[in-house]
Amino acid sequence: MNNNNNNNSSDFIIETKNLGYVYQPKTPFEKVALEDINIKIRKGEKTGILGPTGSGKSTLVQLLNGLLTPTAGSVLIDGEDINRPRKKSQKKSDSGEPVVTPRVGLVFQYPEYQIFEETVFEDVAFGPKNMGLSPDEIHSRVENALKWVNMDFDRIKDRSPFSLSGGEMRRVALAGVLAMYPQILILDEPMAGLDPRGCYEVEERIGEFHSQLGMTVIMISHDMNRISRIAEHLIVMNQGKITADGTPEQVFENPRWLKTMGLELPPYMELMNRLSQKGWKVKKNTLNLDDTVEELKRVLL
Amino acid sequence: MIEIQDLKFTYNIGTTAEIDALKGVSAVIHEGEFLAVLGHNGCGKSTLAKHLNALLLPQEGRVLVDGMDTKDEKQLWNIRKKVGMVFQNPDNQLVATVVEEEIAFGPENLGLPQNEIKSRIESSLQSVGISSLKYRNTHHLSGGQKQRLAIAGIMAMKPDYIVLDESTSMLDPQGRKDVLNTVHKLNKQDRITVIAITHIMEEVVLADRVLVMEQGRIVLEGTPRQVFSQVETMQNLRLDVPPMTRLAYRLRGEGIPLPEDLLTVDEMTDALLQHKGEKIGR
Repeated sequence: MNNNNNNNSSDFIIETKNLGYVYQPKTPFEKVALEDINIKIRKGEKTGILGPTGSGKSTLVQLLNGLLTPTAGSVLIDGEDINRPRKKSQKKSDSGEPVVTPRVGLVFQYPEYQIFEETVFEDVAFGPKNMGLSPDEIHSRVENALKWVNMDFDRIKDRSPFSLSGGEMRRVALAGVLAMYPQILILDEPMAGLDPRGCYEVEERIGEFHSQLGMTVIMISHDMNRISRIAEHLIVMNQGKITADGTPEQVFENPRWLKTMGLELPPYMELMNRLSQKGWKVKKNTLNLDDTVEELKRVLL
Repeated sequence: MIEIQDLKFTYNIGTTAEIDALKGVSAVIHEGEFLAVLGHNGCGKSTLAKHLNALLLPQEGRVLVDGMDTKDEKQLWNIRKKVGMVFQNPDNQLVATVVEEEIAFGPENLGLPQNEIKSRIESSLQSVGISSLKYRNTHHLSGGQKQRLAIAGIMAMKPDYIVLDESTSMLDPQGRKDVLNTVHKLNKQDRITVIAITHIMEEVVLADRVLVMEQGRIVLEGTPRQVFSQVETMQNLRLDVPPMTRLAYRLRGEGIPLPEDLLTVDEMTDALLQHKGEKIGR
């Protein structure tokens, strides 16, 4: 089930070719984490990566941003192998240091635990400073990044990040990555541990800066319900392999094998599948509440 | 029984950063029940939890644990033995490097004889279903296993009450399921009173009774069905209700008669089949 096969490769910002990763190779602890991964992600697309714990999701994203080096195959970003970069003339900062713009920004799980500066401003500025940008540029990026996560710059810039609520801290951590202006944003379990209000805030923000900045967004999650609402492209992983790749409608078409991996259908789809088994002629792939209400109205009224 | 009487608590009292966390909370927690306390971050639910075993002391009002006032310093040990707490982050509450040592920590501090400690380790491991992990390194456990170990450590103190302060919110779905099953079993089989502080619906559905908190007050109380059937109130509080309860609410608005208090996909399937059956029958 790969809907991307017939497309021109230049449409894809990320492509992996026979990508593999083995932890502690040639030792008694050798563990194959990923095997023969071939994925293609379009520029500006919102992709969800789903899979049970230990399926290799986190290993994959660490390969995509170069934190890990593949033990097999390659990762291409904009057609270039990130582990064999072509020499390019680099942009210089005011002080003559080369400016490195990270193409992939990775927001780890519980990013708020990585906040360490004394003020919100300093924390968000950390990445841009390390890129060697000028103080003016840093200031404007911090201001923009905090605006994107819907925080009032003047009210919050001098506060200690540790005095903020969980949802606010997470948004500050997100701003820290956004301030580096990455082309691709990867979020590892962006909603984990947040209360419903916090989840909603982060979900809304992701939608906003995706549409405003045209950023390519990749989210790792095991929350089927939430991810199927946000993502337009789903990749399902199990035991280090890709087991499905397509639109949410395509991926959820066959609920049985999802269940064999310990993943559950989003509840609305689960309901429609049950009704269909009882002989109801209903659409089985209703992803959200509104679609489900419309479909049930159609068959009942 | 834990009695909470007109409890008030303010953080940073007398400073500009004053926060009224509890503005007069009264409740009774009955022996043997599974009580969920639901609310957003900042609603005061964790502050309330910390009052149940005297981690915080009331500024106004009082908390009685089986008749013992938490402000009575002489009773502090007895109260802490009775009421165990499991916190949110599994990495922050383990002290030992090996599973059995972790469980032995509490009983050793009670000065119990070696034989008694050993038997408590065995029974605690068994009650949370991690006997096979006895000699494992605590750092190598998954999040769900760590939380079950934390619960085992508390069980070894033979408590009457366990307070779970958002103890599953950092776990993956499988880890959450394992911890919830464990807690459910302790409640039903070992008659441990469970107080689950949470914003996760799956935890609330298991409870006998739910308190909903908002801005330092209890705003709703009842069985999970009673609470979730108040879809509008819950939405105004921006709290989630189970997807099927929400769907039933919307369909009722379209004129399809469905029960207000249905919670699960099973119940929704049955209700829809019954509705259609009746329609055809007419």
